[in-house]
Amino acid sequence: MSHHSYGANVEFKWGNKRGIGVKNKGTQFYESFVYDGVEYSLYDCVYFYHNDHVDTSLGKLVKIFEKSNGEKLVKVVWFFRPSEIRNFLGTYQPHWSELFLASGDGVGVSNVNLLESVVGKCSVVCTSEDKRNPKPTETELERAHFFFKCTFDVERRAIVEKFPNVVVGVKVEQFFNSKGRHYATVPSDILRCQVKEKDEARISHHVLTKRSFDFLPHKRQKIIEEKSTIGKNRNFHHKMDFVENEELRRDESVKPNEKIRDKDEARTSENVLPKRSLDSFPHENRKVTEDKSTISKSSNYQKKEFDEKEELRQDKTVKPNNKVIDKDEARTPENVLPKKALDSFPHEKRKVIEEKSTIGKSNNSEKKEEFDEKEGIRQDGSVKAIRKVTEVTERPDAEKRRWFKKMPWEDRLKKAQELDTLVLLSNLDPSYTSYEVEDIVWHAFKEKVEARMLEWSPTYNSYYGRALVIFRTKDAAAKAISELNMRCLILEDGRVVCAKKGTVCDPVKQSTFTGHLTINRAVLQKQSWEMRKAVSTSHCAQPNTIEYAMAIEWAQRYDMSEACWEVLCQKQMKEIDDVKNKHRTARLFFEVS
Amino acid sequence: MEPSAEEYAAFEEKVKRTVYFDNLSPQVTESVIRTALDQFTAVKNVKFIPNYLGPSNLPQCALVELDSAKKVKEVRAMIGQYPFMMSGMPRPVRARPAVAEMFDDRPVKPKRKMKCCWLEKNDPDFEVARELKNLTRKHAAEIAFMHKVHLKEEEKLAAQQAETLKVHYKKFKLIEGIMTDRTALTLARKYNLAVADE
Repeated sequence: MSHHSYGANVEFKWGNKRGIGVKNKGTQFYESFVYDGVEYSLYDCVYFYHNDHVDTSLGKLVKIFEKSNGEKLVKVVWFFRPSEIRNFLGTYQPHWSELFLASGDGVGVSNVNLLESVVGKCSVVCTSEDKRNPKPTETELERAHFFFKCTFDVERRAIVEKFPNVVVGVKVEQFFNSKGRHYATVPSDILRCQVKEKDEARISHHVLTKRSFDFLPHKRQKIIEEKSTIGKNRNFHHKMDFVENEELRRDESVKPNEKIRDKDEARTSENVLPKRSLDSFPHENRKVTEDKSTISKSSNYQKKEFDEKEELRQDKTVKPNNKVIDKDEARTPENVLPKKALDSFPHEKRKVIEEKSTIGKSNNSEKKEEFDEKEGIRQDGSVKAIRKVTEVTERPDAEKRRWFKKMPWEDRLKKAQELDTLVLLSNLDPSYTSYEVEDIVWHAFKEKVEARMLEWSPTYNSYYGRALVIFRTKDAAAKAISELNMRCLILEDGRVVCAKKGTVCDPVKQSTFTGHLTINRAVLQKQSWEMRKAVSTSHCAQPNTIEYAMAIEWAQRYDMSEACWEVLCQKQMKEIDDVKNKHRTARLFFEVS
Repeated sequence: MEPSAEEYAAFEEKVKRTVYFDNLSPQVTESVIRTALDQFTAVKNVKFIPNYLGPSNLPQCALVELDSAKKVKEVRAMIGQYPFMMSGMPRPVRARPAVAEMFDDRPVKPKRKMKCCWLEKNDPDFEVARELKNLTRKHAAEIAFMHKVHLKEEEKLAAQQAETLKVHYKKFKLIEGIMTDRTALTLARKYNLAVADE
């Protein structure tokens, strides 16, 4: 089969297994997968590519599974871009990087899509004030591509600030920030660059063109249901359809059956058939499709999509794929079909057809899958039972810390050094303050300590925050160090605190400074005029002096060392990400508190 | 110690007004910085960042609070354009904008919530955590090594420049010598060359 040759080009690997569908034993759920060199896991936010819309779509993976026929599928809950729901924004002023989580019952909340239509990861943080939502850290906010703080209820067509408990059977906690998952969702910069490069062609040209559904004839949007085939509607639907329908409704070209359809589709579909592509084919063709085995379909998806991607990458205009007319290709239902091809078919042909195989797989299997999910969650819960997550609050005597003027820090430090009560903590969040470190130590060891955050320096990896902590007694300090070595103290975003005995080097005032040369009165005579003009000990070097030439050498040296630090930091960040990604479980840190 | 939003906003303003200087000689004191910069702008506050852990021969760093964020830009542009010497030559100082994490006395960010938890040995994630811990240690060692390498490189550059300077110095000395003891004039007369009298 042709798809093998294509498949070979695109790297694909399943991750850990999660469970199987209980009724539909052939369905295997997974925790993660690697596609095209990028690892995706459950609850990652991803970009979806589909060529009949200008922007990529954003969604969260809530299920990853493979059906018995080899189809690789992901269930996603969508995020709306503000422009997609611009008619319902009302007075709400969205931020340019704001998204809205789909919620409620209705079309557009979630879909099952082909795994191959995922084009890349993106990081989305939740800034909601909801108390179930762990506050995003500074770093998270900085690294995030998008944020959301409201949901969009597709039933009421309104922006809602309150989050429901469950979105399409998935606990809302999974949509909130989850500590430790952070690094799973945000690929390292390097990784992100790779993804970007690859997808640039696909994504960027989309952004430039007009939103496709704006210029598609509205009639085309009509979808006539073939309800007779099945009770439950289980079609592939993109959330855009919902938006499109909305536009239609506003145009007052509402057809009565559309409303019904909306309701029917309230159930999220488990089906794979992207209706968009189906719609684009003559009816007869689709009839044929129905009866074909799904295996042959899946084999064609890949090929199809690959063709498409290749083409898009080469020229930035969307071209109709000639192969579409080919009967064999007609069986490949994929939403990547070029939109011109869509346009070329009369709108009556846009009918949604049910895949026969799904009839047998009725609502039950869906429930089973949900059950599986719950099973998974329960497992997570039992893990958490051992852990006690402490919310760090101010320690009891917090106020007092400000009342008394203490000895200068330098003196206390010196004394602590002599008494062996000094501990150096590292891998703290660099944005912690000294007081916060004291609070953390109080909660972790029930020790009242004095802490001092060490300043961030350009010649250190900015990911690591460090603090010097003075314990009250030598024993307490030793105990804390051994505790931290034996067990692991985890902080919010999956940092593991590292401790060692603090040794402070005396800040000796040196008399010489590398790079400052002194002997040269004679040389300086040349610059005596400048020297007189300059402020006593400081001046800017002028370009016609030896000093200037040497200063440039130093500047070069500085740039070089800066580059070295950058590379080192990048390397270290990658190592950290690698370790966290290697063990998928790392993202379970702090999922429940 | 209620962290107030205003307090934090004031602090953020202060950060914007502040320049971070590094590669400062240990001789540089607050008054040196003040006099050095008052040709550009008034200096509000100077704070040296202590170097507790690093190699003791690392250059000094200081946070200098200026009048406004605009002045920060000007000073940085000036120092970027011309190498700026403070208490010695020819190694210039460097300036960059300050960030909040450079202040050890920064106020607590309002409404910040923190969490922590202990992982026991039997926890499934314990191995990951331990690996991360080891990674932290390894990275700290790498950073220490990097410091060492850079200090060595700097010393090398300084030695090389000292050598160059010595040669220049010798040359100037020689020229000066023959000019002062009139050797140059005598020779010029002998070869019948016109030498401009100083």
